[in-house]
Amino acid sequence: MTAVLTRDPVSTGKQHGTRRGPRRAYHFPSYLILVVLALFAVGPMVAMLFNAFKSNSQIGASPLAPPTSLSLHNFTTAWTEGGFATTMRNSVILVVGAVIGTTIVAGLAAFALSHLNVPGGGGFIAYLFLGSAMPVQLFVVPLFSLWTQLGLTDSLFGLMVIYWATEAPFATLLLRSFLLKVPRDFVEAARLDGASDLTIARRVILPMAWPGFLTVALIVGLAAWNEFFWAITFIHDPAKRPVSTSFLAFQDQYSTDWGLTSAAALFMLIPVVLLFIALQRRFVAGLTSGGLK
Amino acid sequence: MTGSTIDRRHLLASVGLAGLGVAAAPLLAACGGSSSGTKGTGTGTVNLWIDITGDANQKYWDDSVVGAFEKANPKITMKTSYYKGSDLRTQVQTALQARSGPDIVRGPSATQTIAWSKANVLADLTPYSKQWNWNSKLSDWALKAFTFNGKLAALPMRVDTMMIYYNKTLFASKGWKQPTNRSELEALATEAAGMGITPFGSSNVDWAAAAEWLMTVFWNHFSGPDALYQALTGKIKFTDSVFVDAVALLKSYFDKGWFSGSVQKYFSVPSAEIGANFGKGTVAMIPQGEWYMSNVGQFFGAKAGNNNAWDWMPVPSLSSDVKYGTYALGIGGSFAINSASKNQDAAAAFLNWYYGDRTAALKRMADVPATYNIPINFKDSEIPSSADPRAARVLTELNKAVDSGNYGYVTWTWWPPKSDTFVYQGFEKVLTNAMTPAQYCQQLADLFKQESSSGNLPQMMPRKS
Amino acid sequence: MTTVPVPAPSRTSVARGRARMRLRRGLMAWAFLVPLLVLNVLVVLGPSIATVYYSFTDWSGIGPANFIGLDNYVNAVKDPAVRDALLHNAIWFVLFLSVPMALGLLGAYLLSQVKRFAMVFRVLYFIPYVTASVVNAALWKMLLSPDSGIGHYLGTHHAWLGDTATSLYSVNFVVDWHWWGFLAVIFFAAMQSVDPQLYDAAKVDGANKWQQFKSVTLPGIRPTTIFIFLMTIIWSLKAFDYIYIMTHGGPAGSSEVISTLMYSQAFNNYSAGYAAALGMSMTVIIGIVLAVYSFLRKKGWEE
Repeated sequence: MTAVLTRDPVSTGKQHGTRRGPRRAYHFPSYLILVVLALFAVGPMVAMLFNAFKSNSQIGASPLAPPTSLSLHNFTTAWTEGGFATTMRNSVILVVGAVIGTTIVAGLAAFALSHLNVPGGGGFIAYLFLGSAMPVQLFVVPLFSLWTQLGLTDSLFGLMVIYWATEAPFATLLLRSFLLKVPRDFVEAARLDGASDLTIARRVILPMAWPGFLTVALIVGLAAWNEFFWAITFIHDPAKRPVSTSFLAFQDQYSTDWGLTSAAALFMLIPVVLLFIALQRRFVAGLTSGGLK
Repeated sequence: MTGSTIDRRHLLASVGLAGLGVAAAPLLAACGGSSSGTKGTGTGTVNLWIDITGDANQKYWDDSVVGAFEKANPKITMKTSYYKGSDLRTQVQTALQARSGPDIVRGPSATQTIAWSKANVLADLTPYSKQWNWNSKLSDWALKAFTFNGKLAALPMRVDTMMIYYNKTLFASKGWKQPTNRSELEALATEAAGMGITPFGSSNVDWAAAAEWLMTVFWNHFSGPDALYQALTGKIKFTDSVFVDAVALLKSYFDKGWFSGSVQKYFSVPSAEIGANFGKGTVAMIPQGEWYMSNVGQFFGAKAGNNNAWDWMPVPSLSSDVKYGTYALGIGGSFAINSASKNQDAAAAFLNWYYGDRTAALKRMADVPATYNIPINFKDSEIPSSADPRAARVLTELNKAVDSGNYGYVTWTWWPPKSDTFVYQGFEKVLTNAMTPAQYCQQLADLFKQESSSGNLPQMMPRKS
Repeated sequence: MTTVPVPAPSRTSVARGRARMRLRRGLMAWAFLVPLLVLNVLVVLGPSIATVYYSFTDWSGIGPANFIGLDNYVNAVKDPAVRDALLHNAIWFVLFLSVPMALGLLGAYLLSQVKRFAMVFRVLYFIPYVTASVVNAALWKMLLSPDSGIGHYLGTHHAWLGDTATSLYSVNFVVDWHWWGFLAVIFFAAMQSVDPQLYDAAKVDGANKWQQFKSVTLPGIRPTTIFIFLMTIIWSLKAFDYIYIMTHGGPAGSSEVISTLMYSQAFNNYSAGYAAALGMSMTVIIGIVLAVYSFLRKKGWEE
């Protein structure tokens, strides 16, 4: 069994750093632009953050001003009225299920399309691209009919299956481009050693391409967490609703309680941001290690 | 090479067949005409999807409506799911098509219910009506609006009319009187605009069909109910000048900047902001339906940071042919039973309680302005004294209007479905000058002719001559 | 001693043996694709075929559907609303393809050049992408409000979403804002894998930052760029959420794209058969775009 070489991300990073050190003088305009871009990206969120601490009438008076006092009233009200305890739990289940299912399905397919000679593979890839471009609003009614007959409506599992089907094409294509980078020599060597396709997938591909899997997991997980239209169509039981529906609980036809809505938005946003902060070092480090020769 | 080619073709063929098989299932379900529902035992769980938003409103529904019903009928449990109004209809329709969804369907108004009734997705309520004698409990005109081909398809949910809300404190401080005719209204609007106060607050940001409210007002109070009745029964056309002029008049008010300040602001200022300005006094009047009464209160008083009060007045008559004190009338929404429901008797029991228990119904009407105004027969004296006088006045005025024949026709009840959609979609084009009022009315007339010839009109409320 | 000649294996049996091996390998490879295929047939292909069927009927969205042949397609060609929607899709496509990629490349390149705070910037840029579309749309609807939004603070009372001239561009602005951070992070990761020796070589040749970008960075991340380009093309055609929430395709159809028109026809105008025909037409257009892409690819664009 050939030894699988892994790259040490830390040393690579250091290598980068020492080469870049002396160029600091050129960086000020870069930093300026980066800061402007950051303000552009996050500025609106700051407005939302402010509003979460203000009452609705305060917001009506001055929508974009910072709060005068840091009252947590909106947060506690939004949490209970929006039923976040239930909806967050449902969304976590959805995300975990969607990520696991999609990575398995997409992983198998991507492996085949990148390392096995699939007859008609090019056509299948084209079909995947086309499929991921279909306007989904188009077939909501026939799909709902089918799901009703299969008893998959009002079920988190049923919604999960829909996510697997809608996310897997893109996940497959993305994963395939990562897997293509895995050097063929390793795979060939393993095959010469007599390893079956499945063993190759497990022992050779997976360790080398795990940053790709992480990327796919992140994207699919995000999509499942934020998704709204499929969720409201297929889940009607209030006990099974995901977190995106909680956000809408404070908006009605005549008024939107911006204080509560902003607090609800933060509930939806903060877990994801924290997760991303925790994972992003690994995420980027993995990506950089996977690409170097 | 041959081996793999056959393989690929074989595989694609089997994929195609599988796809067809999977596609066939929903098609067969959809094409099946018979309902799969059953009457049930009259007990158990009944599911209901409804568009009540806001924590306080939902609590009221849970405690005072569902709670009261369950106390009276302990063997039945109601389960309510809440939705935003703009989403509910599409959700329900999708579910109905798949022969699933709630037991009690909170559906659209009369004309759109025709489409559902024709599709056999709603249970026939006639047997229940006979069993519990609903004809004596509900207003005749309201029941007729939901009876198609001899079958009662749904029960009318809420009596709708259009009126003008105004900032009473503002009017008092400026010495303004309630306008009763067009010249008074226009003078008032001009004066307000000159002071920097927006005469009419309105927007379609939160409700895409808002423009049909305004068209309802102008057609009923300028063209007049008699003309409308003749057009809706096919005796005259919508291209008649009396209708075109109404559209042109409304457009002229927009062009003067009397509605929210400009056409563009009408399209982009959220209702919450308009409401806040209304409370503050920078918006003088809001032409809205009676349903707004359950929401307008939040913009006035100490909680909203002002010392103002609101009230409502009937729409002034915009032409000499129309009597002051005419009210456009209609039904907003319906309650029906899903023909695929497995618990139809229990669902019907809820409907019977909702419409039949007069004390409970009147109490609801008093507790919450407008939302629970069902078309049951009652005398003015029966209205509980706990009702907000402004809400009580709606009930008494509408009773008067129905008795005296001083009523008109709201577009979302009496126009056929596609024409009704065109009323607001087309009007947007009139506002942006992409269509003239004459072209607008021509398209409406064409669409109306198409739909009425395929029998998509509810039974009209007759005129009292 | 004479040996009895063993009959050599005939050519056909060798060929048959090889074909069997290839067949088995082919089947094994397809076996990996089965889960994806099953899901796809169940959720996408099946309902899509139903939609194809409905596109040839007068289905209203509920109830029976009667066959009317190509009427829906003929009407779609004649319908001015469809023409406008396609034009809006084209405008959207051009903007969505250029703005986020330009910002993404800029941000990624600058990030790859600086050493400190890179992580902070990455997180901040990623936040709009990470936020749900319903949240972003509601937030920007408030921010773009004529009298109390950002414009008010900048001295203008323009109704961005209410003016037919700016409604489409305003929604597009929000979607670009949502999307570019994601591209920046992906490009940044790709740029990390560019061999630093190439940069040194370029600097030795006297190249400035911009020239380094053009001659080293861009070619180095070409596969990623191509892939992102393709995905952006596809996603631009799906633009629905934001438009639906922020303007409903209005005012007066000024921000209507094919997907919102389809939805409105199916659910508001009781013309679900017509909507299905629109959807099918859209799929054909996408197919053509993809075919053009693969033709260009065959001409040696990728790798």
